[in-house]
Amino acid sequence: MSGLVARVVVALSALAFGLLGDSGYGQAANALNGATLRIIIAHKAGNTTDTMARLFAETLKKYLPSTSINVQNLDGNGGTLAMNEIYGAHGSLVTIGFVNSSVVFTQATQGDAMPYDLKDFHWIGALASSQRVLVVRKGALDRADPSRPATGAAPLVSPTMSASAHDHINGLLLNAMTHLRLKMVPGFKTDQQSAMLLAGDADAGIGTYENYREYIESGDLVPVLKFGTVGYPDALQLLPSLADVALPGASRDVLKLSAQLSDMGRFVVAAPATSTEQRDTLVAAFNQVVADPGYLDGLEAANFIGSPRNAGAVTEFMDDLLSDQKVLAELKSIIACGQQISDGTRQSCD
Amino acid sequence: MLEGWNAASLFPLLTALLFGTALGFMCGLIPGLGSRVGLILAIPLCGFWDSYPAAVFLFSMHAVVHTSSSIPTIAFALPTSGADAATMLDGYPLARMGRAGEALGASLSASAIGGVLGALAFMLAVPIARPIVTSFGPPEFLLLSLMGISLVSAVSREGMLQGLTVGAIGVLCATVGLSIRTGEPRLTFGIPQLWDGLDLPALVAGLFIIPEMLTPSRFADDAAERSAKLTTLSEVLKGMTVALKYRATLLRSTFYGIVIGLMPGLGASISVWLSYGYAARTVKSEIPFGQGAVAGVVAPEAANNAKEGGAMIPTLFFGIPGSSSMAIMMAALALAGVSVGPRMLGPDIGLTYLLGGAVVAANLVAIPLFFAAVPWIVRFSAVRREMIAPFAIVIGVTACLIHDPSLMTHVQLVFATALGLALKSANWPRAPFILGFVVGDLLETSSYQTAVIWGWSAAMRPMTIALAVALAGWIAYLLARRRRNTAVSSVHPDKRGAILPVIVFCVAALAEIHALPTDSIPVFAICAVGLVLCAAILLRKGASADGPAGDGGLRYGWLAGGFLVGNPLIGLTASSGIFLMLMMQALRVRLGHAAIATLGFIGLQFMLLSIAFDIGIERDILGRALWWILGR
Repeated sequence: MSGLVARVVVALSALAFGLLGDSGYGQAANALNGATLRIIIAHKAGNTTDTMARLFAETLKKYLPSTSINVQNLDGNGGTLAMNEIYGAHGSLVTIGFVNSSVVFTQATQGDAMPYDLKDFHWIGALASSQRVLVVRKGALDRADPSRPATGAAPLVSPTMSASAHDHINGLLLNAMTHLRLKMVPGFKTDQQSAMLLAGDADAGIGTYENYREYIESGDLVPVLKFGTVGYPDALQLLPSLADVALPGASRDVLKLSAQLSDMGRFVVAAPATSTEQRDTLVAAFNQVVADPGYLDGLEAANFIGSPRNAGAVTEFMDDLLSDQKVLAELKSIIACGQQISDGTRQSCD
Repeated sequence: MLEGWNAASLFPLLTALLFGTALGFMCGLIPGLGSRVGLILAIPLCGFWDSYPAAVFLFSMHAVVHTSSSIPTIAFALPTSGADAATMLDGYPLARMGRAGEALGASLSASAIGGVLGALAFMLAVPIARPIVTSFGPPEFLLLSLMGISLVSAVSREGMLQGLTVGAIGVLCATVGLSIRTGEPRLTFGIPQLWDGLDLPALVAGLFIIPEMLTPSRFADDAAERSAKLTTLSEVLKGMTVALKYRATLLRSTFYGIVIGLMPGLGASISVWLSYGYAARTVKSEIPFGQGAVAGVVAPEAANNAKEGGAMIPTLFFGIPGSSSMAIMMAALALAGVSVGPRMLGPDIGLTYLLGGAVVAANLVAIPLFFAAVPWIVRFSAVRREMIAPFAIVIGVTACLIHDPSLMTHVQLVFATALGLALKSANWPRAPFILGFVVGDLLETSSYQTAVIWGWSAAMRPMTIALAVALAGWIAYLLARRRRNTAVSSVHPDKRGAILPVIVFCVAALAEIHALPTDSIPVFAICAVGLVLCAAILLRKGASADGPAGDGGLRYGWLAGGFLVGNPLIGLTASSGIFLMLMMQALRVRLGHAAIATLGFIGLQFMLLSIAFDIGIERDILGRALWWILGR
């Protein structure tokens, strides 16, 4: 047994050393020399963001050749599990994470109950827009006109991951700020959501364009609106945005915030315990990776569209947002109203 | 699309097939690696081939992981997943009887047949794939979970009430974490690390691996020990033949595996435990289930491999991953330049058949690999059993930490070990816990979703009606059989064992009363049912109040306890080293031999964790020294 284990270990070690080996891109001494960098992905393995993050991590090895990089998945509750893990990280493990903008929604709605505060984190950049869209199955299109009141019609059943997930919150915003009526039902894994839509058991889905691309191309699902403004494929450029179809009285601040969050999409965040030197090294490495031809080829091969934002832009956005209590409070009340509409206990937010 | 391929283009396909099968086989052998981690590690290797051979490599690798994972499960009681734990229930007792070769042969037959039939089902499903995949939703999942709960009795030979109580603890543990309905924490005791729920590998290790290893587990007799030492291919072949005697079980479990595999999000464990439970309830066996029934190895192994064929249907035809491994597979395929989806039913149909054929071939290629590996692994299992125990415990704990390297894994290990030891010493069944844990989450989620989306109209769905009829028939069969079956179990559960469950249910109920989240009704309901069951056990007349407690005293329990507690304090490498040395001293192994074995083992452990998995073990005391020596 031990011989076999030894052979396997040697093979795996060779693989690991091969991956970590000097590829000619080594940079001069940096604050992460000899350290272990732990990357936490707040999504399931195999998800679009996970795939992007793993491509990023592979490329990062070129620019941090003397840093060992360990990638972990920690999904659940709209990224709060991952954020909590990153928040508590200290010691010799430098920790960064890939999270989506639902962490901002969670901060707004459950801020007091959260064991962390977004203000404490370091923002390294944003990898790509989240390309969020609302899709509806063909048979339910007559109930999915966001510009027209759906009087008396049954709400669109929309399966979501959890009550804190981005798709769920987006649906609640639609309830509160448009004529659309969605019954948001949490507890479905991403794959189950797609199966529900194909089976006709659910009517609408909210997620990244990548999640639904196959079904959109096959004609099973029809995109109805988009939440952001950048990073979408050409075919969706003419699709109306949430701001285009929002009710006249809808909060412009929240609409703008929703679009910005979708455009920033996939954030890279570092633990509060990260030193300034380590943060600067990570920011420099981030900028190198997102411009790396190999990384860009990988994105293209997987049909992903990258639209990165640098650390300065993301930090400025977060600082402005987190200091604007008025917008956060407004967002919280809109989400609560959207939930009541979803539950059928309220008809509108007027 | 495959036209124009010639002998030259077959070469990369063959190398991909052979290399993938060999790598997958090795991943299954090492506890902690398994399919998901193996696939992630294999992604960079896809670069050696073009897209189609790369896809063949990935599927070949994935197809055989479960075939080889039965080897450590049966020979050393080291299940690598919740699904493998079902195989251990009968496979390990067979090994203790000196029949490991036979058990492994049976598992090989079942795995190969299940895997091949699963792949054939995938290829045959092309014309009817869509209606099959879309027939199952939350109402059907609800009925399946009820079917799973009904099988608790099948894995409770020690006593029905005891089994139901332990199953209720499993269901209760499944509620730990954030409520899917409201996002509020339940039974997390203010610990954010518990938001994600409990960890199945840690529960399996604590409930099964550690208690088995701490209990004296010598061979049944000298002949059994000699038999293990002389395990030959003929015994494996004999096991393969014996498995074929259980044709009905094999085919039925394969069917369950395929059907449950094609339902997205249900997970591997459910098909395996349903198959095991159904076999335990229906198959006549000379040796009772749980004590070394060959059918208890055949059923879970067939289902485990067959489910991957089923999971390929939604994954490749609709881009809906049928399992967590398949989600990683989809990402790996995307990176290899292979796009899945409805095209696989039309223009890319050639690739569909290529991948189906690769899975069939990989299952067949795994057979000689299995023959090559098994005899000497089984002979190794015949060395002094006490010598294996400390290493098995450390490997089991290490595998859990590979899965989730966090403090909460240690805490869960301690909790599950305490529960496992208490249940074992009271002669209470442990398998119902895993069954309850696996189906508990599905039961709660699907009942909520069914109520919100369909209400009572769910009863009008054709598949729901079919499953409801099947469930009703099944329950009627169970009741009729129970009335006929008057045999008295030879195992006497100690009713004092109910004290620990009472404590668990009371603590859970009090914690919920204190926190009072909106979505706490399921927790209170489970606690109430559990307390009623405990009361029934304690008040039952004639129960074996003074029955034999367990099958032997615990040995070296304090050392194992020290190891589990010391892990988070001084690190895995250091605590493993100290634990192994102390255990071997207690076993009177010569100091030099013990030191060499310990150093060799923790060196391998360190390399695996720090280099292959990079989970920060270098923070340990011994780890730091090794790190320094290796020049990192």
